[in-house]
Amino acid sequence: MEHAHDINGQVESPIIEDSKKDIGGLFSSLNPWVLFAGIVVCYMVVMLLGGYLGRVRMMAGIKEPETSMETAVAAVLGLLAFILGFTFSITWNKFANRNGLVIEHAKAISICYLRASLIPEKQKLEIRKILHEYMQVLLHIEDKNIERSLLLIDHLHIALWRETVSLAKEDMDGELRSIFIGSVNDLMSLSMERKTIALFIRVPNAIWRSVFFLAGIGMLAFGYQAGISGINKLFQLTLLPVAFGLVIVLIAELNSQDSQRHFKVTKRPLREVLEMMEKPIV
Amino acid sequence: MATFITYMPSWVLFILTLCIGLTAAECGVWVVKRREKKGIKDKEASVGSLVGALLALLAFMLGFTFSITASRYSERKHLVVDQAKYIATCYLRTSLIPEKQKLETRRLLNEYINLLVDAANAPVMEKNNKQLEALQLLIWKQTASLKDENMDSPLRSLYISSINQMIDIFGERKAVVLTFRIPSAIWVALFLLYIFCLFVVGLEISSYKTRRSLNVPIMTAAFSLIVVLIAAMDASRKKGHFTVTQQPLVEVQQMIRENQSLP
Repeated sequence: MEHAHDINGQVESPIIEDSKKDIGGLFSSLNPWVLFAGIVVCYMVVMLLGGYLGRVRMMAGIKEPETSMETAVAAVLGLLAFILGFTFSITWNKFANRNGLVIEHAKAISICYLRASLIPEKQKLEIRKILHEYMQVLLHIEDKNIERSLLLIDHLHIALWRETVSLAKEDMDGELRSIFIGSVNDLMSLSMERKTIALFIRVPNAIWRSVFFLAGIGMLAFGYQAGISGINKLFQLTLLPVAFGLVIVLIAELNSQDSQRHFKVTKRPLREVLEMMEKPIV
Repeated sequence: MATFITYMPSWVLFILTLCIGLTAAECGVWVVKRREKKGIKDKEASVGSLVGALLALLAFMLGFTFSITASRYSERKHLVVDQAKYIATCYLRTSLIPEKQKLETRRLLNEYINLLVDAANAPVMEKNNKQLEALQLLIWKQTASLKDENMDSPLRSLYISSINQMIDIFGERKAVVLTFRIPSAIWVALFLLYIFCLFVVGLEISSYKTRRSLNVPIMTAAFSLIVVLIAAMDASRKKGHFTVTQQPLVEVQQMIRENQSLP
C-alpha cells in the first residue's frame, strides 16, 4: 500500500456534505427499529387527531355519508401506495444497479489483468502489482475509510494510466496495444460509474416530503372517517401506520449507502478476481 | 403550457391546482342545485360509480405521466455519468497522441469541462451551447489533424473513437435536457380530466346534508401534490427539487486540474 503515504492530507468531502442534507441518508443512518417506532408513533398521533376531529363533528350532529369519505380515503391512500411503490422501485433499481456494476467492475479488472499478458514484461509486472493493490483497496472499503479509499483509488488509476501510456513508446503490435488500452479505460470508467451510483444518486428529498405529506393527509382522513362513523377499534387503526412504517424502513435500508445493514452489495465477484490473480498466469 | 407549468414555483402550482379542483367541485354542486330547482333529480348510485371510474382514470393518467417524467429524470442522471466517463477517457487518451495536438486538446478539454460544470441547468446550458459546440469543433479539428501525423494507426483510431463518443453524448444530453418534455397535450388532458373528476365529485356531494365535507379538500390536496411532483421532476432547473448531480463532471474537472502534467 505504498500509495497510501501520498494522501494523508485532509480532503473535502462532497459525500458527507451531500448526505447531511439528504432525508434518505438521515433515515438510513438511524437504527431500523427506532425509525419504525418513530414513524408508527407519529402517524398514530396523526390518525388519532383525525379520529378526534371526526368524533367532535359527530357529537356536533354533523352527519357525513360514509361513501364520500371512503372514496376520498381510497383515492389518497391509492396515491400514497403509488408513490411508495415508485420510491421502492427507485431504491431497488439503485441497489440492483450497484450489484450489477460490481460484477462489471470485477469483469473489467479481470480482463485488464489477463490482457497484461499481451504487453511487455516491464509494464506487465508493474500493472499487475497496481491491480493487486487496487483489489485490496476495493475489498477493504468501509464506511469509516471511504474518503481515503476513494482517494487511493484515484491515485491508483493515475498510476495505472502512467504505465499504460508508456506502452506508446514500446515496439509492439498496435492492435494488441489498443486492446489493452481499451480495457484500462473501461476499468476506470466503471469505477467512476460505480462511485456515482453508490454515493451520489439518491431518492430526491422532494419524493420523501411528498410521501410523508400524502401519508399525513391519508391517515388524517382515515382517522376522521373512523371518528365520524363512531369506530373506536385501536387495533384496526394501528394497521395502517405499521404497514407504512414497514415499507419506509425497507426503502431506507435499500437506500442506505453507508452502513449497508440488511442489503449488502456483494463483493464476491471481486474476491473471485483476486483469487484468479493469485494463480500463475503468463 | 408545459413550459409555463414547469417553470412556475411549486407552491404557486400547488395552490393553483388546489383552487381549480375546489372550484370544479363547487361548480358541480351549483349545477345540481340548478337542476333541482328545475325539478330534475339524478339517482345517487349512478354518480357514485362514475366518481369511482373517473378517479381511477385520473390516477392512471397521473401514474402514466409520472412514469414518463421519472424515466427522463433517470436518463438525465445517467447521461451526466456517461458524459463524465467519455470526457475522462478522452483526456487520458490524449497521452497517446503527438505533443502538439495533446497540449492543445487538453487545453480545450479543460475549457470544455469548466463550461459543462457551469451549465448544470437548462438555461445556462442553452447559453453555453454555442461555446460548447465551438469547442467541440476545435477539438475535432485537432483530432482530424492526426491523419497527417506519423503515429500508430490503432492508437489513432482508439483516440478518434473516444472523441466521437464524447461529441455524441453531448448531443444526446442536450436533446434530453433541452428538448424532451411532457407534451402540452398531456398536461391539458390531465387538467381537463382533473376538472371533470372534481366536477362529478361536486355532483355527488351536493346530495349530502352537510356541505362542509372534508373529502374534496383531501382529494384535491393529494392530486395537487402529485401534479407539483410531476412538474418539478420535468423541469431542468438547477434550483428545483430534482437537481441532477453534477458530481461526476466535477470529479473529471478535478482530475484534469490535478493531472495537467500527465505524460
